[in-house]
Amino acid sequence: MKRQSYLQQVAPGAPARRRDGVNVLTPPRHVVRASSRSVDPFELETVLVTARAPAPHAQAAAKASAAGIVRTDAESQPPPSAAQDAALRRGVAMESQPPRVPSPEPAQDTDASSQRRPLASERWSRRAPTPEGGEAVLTPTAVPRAANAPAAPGSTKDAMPRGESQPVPHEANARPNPPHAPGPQYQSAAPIQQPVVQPAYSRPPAQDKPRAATPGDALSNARAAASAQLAADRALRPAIPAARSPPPREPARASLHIGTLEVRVTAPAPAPVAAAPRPAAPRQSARSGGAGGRRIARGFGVFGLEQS
Amino acid sequence: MAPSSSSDVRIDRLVLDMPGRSAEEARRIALLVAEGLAAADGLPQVGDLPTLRVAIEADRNSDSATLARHIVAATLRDLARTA
Repeated sequence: MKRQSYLQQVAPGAPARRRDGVNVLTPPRHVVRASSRSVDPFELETVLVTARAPAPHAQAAAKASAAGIVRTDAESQPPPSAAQDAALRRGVAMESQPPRVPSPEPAQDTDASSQRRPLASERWSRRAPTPEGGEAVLTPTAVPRAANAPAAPGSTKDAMPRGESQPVPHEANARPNPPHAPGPQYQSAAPIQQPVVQPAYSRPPAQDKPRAATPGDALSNARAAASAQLAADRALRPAIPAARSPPPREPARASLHIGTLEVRVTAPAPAPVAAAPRPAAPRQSARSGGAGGRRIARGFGVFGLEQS
Repeated sequence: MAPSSSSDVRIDRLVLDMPGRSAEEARRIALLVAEGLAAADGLPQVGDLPTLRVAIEADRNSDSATLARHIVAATLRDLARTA
């Protein structure tokens, strides 16, 4: 069963691939899937690891699946999270739970419709309930090979410590699809599909498609060049002072400047009046007795008669 | 400062205090003073004086031209003394 392209998921009647085999439209990896479940980065990682799953380890896991190991009780199996994590690191994908107890004949739910689902549908139906009511567990998706080591039930979990990347042998890469011996549950199944590596959706850069120059492009280029030139000029020129001082009042030419000229004109002082000759004081006789009889001449007064 | 025969003189404000004379006569005398200073010899070539006060004595009956010449002469003396 071919994997539906994104266009087919959106429009069921649309063609899946072009004539040259390329998908018409590849769904981006980080979009909501058709199962309407939320995007699980854990599951996305599963897909990526599956794409570069190493062959030997996948073979061992495939052996475990081919041996018909079934698990029906939830108590005996490891926690789903640990098992899923371990299986993811070993390059396995999700599938409906097979029976845990080994049985020589295919189990009741090992029909072709439930065991050999397409990988694309397996990835998206990890937690979907199986028709028999089992819980989803991990099974390998790589092609099993019967010529390898004997299958160990716990080999898928214990073959490699967690957190380590498994080395990929060169010959495994050279032969991705070796001949395989299908197990009992694969006898009636359709040919196993290999995981398809979907390239991540990426928007092509704008430079890949040269387009014809338009007048707008020339204008924008001219503006960009002008802005670049302006930035370069600003970088070279010294910084412009924020505020310029007011221009000086004095002109550049040498001159005489008088701020305020105050002229006070006063009337000349009047000419001084010539002093009039004073009349001569009347000469008083020292000896006159009259009104100044009390004035006594010095000598006479001291030694005069009035002293008696 | 060496005086020059012709130089630019700028007076921002001229104040005439002449009691007993009209404003029109004072305006006319001010113009005569400006012309006299512009044409006077012996002015300093460069100088900056914020304020220059000149006092003269003039008769009340003297005419405007004579009074303007007295003012110019007194201004030149003060400029020569201060500048």
